Amino acid sequence: ETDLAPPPTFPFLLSCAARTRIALSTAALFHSGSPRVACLAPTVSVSPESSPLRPRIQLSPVGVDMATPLVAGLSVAAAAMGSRYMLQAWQAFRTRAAMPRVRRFYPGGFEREMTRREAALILGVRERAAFDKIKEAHKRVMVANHPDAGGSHYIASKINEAKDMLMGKGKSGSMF
Amino acid sequence: MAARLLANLLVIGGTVLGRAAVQAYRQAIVNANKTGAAQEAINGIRRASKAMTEQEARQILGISEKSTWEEIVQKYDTMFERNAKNGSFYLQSKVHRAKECLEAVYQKPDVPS
Repeated sequence: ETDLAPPPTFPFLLSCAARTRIALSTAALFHSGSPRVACLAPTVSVSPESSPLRPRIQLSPVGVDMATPLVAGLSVAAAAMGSRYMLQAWQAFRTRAAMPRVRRFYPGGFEREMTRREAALILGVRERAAFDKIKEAHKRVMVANHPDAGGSHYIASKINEAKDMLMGKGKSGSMF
Repeated sequence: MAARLLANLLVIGGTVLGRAAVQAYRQAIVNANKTGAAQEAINGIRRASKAMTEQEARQILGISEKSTWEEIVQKYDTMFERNAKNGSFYLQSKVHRAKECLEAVYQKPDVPS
């Protein structure tokens, strides 16, 4: 023990127990045959119960445990908000689609004397449509409003009158 | 001399423009009569004060005065759907207005009771 003098950086360690501990640690490290570890010997021997690596090791599991629930929670929240938005959009679409249809209906009844414009509206074609289109539209609308299939004679007569007007027959003498 | 010439030009230009405006107005009237817009405007003024009559509504839906409200609703649904698919929007509108007119008529007896 006399040949192993204490380092000058630790003058306050003068007790016999401290000297014994330092001597034993240094002897063990020297026997292992690694001079670098021997240099770090005083630090390790001063506080063996708390090593500098412990806090880092402890922090890692905490971080890993905290990340997964957070990500899962955010995913669930995003899904819920998305579903709610889709539901509101669907309801708005239905509400919006219904109102303009009611508002857009033509007001009142038929004209006292059918005009060319009303004839075009009845058949769903333009005033200057080709004769083929007029005949096709007349056939389609007449099938939809035929008296024998649930329609009415009044509307059927209106449809026929509209076709005659657009085809240049009936009251109006001019072709266009 | 120059002032007199300028005045003559202004008078001639004004005359030409006035004549052109008169001719354009007459042509517009002819076009309106031809396409039926004028007649429709006149009827619109008249119809604004009066809506569809009950008789026309019954004719449109093809029902008689003895029909019940259930028959009217069934007839209306049939014609409305058929016109929605193969008919025209104008006829669909008339069917809808006819039902509205008859709905008002059929609800009147319920009010006093």
